[in-house]
Amino acid sequence: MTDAQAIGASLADPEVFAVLFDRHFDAVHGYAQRRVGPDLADEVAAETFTRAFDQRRRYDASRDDARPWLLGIAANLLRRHWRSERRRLDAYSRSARTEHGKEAAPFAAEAAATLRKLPRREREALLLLAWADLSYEEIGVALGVPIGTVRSRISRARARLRGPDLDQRPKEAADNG
Amino acid sequence: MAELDVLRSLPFPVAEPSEEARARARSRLLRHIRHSRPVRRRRLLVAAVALAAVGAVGALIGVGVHGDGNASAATALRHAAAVARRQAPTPPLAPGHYAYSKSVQAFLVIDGDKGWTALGPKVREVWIGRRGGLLHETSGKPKFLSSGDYERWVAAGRPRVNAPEATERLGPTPPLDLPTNPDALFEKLRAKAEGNGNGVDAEMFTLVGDALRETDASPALRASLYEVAARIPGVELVGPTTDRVGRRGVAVAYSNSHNHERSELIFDPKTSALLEEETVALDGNAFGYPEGTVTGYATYISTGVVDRLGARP
Repeated sequence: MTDAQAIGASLADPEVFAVLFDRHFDAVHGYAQRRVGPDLADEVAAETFTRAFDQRRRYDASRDDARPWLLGIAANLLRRHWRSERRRLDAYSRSARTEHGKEAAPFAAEAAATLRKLPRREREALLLLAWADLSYEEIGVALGVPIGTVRSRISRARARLRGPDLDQRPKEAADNG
Repeated sequence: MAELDVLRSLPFPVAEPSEEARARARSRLLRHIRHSRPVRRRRLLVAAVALAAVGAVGALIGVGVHGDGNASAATALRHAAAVARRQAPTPPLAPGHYAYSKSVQAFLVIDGDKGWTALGPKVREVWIGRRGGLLHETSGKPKFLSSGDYERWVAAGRPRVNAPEATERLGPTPPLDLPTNPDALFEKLRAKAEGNGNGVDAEMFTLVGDALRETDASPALRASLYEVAARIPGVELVGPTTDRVGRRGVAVAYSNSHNHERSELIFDPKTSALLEEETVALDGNAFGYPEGTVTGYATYISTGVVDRLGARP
């Protein structure tokens, strides 16, 4: 039974929808975890499935795999946790700079700092690619936008990540004494 | 592809969900399935919610577009800027000196797992120094913003909301790297805010707040910060108000349509000092709180420069 078939069957017999949960909960949870940490991920992942159930009539039955659709719902829910996500990125970019020193993780610190500054739509598209391993087409399904839009959002986001000076590092305190 | 590899290498956990979390989420879904309403009625409900959301966006746009509020906010902010500009310059923070700030504040503590949210009040003292600093906080009784939050907190076994007391050494704080010329400052803050997911104007308002609170900003810089705030589109005058300790001030606000939250800054028009900050939930907020619910505040009670860690002005 494909996901599309399970969703179709759940219209008559709602509890069949649990199949979707058993297949995809870990993937949704894993994605949410990278974005907001394990505690909030429990909440986001759980709510993703109750939301998905409520929206199942709108599911595009031509798509066998429901994972992109579910990750799109999760991405929507994650918007309300932007503060936590931002704090995580800030904390990480600070610690990668100060604790590991310049040679250890400068690119990672930079990347976390840049992620924080990306416009929401670009960040969402980019992270579905990098952290959920969706294809461009699947990202389009998840976010409900055409594939051309996905391409341009991701290429802009990647250019910003490569960009030399989006994140101007604070200079070392001149006054050491 | 190097950027993607770097992103993938960020050491954010990707552990499997705990069995407990998975089981809890699964039974929540099954409960939800069993309790869900007949389709026809649910559709109506969804339509009603969608309409309400459209209404909220409309209202916010309405607020943003009105030019009046913005003009009077600018007048009030420029008045504060003028007051700051007339103040005597303060010397830069010397080595061995500390900028001290004491505030009473409360921000949301969210337990996504157990599903409760509370305001955790604190008395916070910070000493900021070029060689290092200190933070000391004591926490008070949590305040729950809805009876559901309180009930879920009780059901979770009344966990501690904030540590009762915390003392932390702070690292060295470099001087604020901000120009005192208002045009240059505006450009610098705008460049910093550019591309921010919350919108450039919202982020600029946040950056102004960041530079005013718990820093050693000079009067000249403070003047320019108020001038910059006066130029940010969408900043509105809330009007004369009193803060939580009864001081008279003037409040300006920025209503953020991304996160449905209004941020207020209250300043003393006579001294230009930042007295208080507050965040207020707007219609459509993620928590479902009634519009106007206060979701955070900080009242700055005492500030000054001291020559010893732990000393108070």
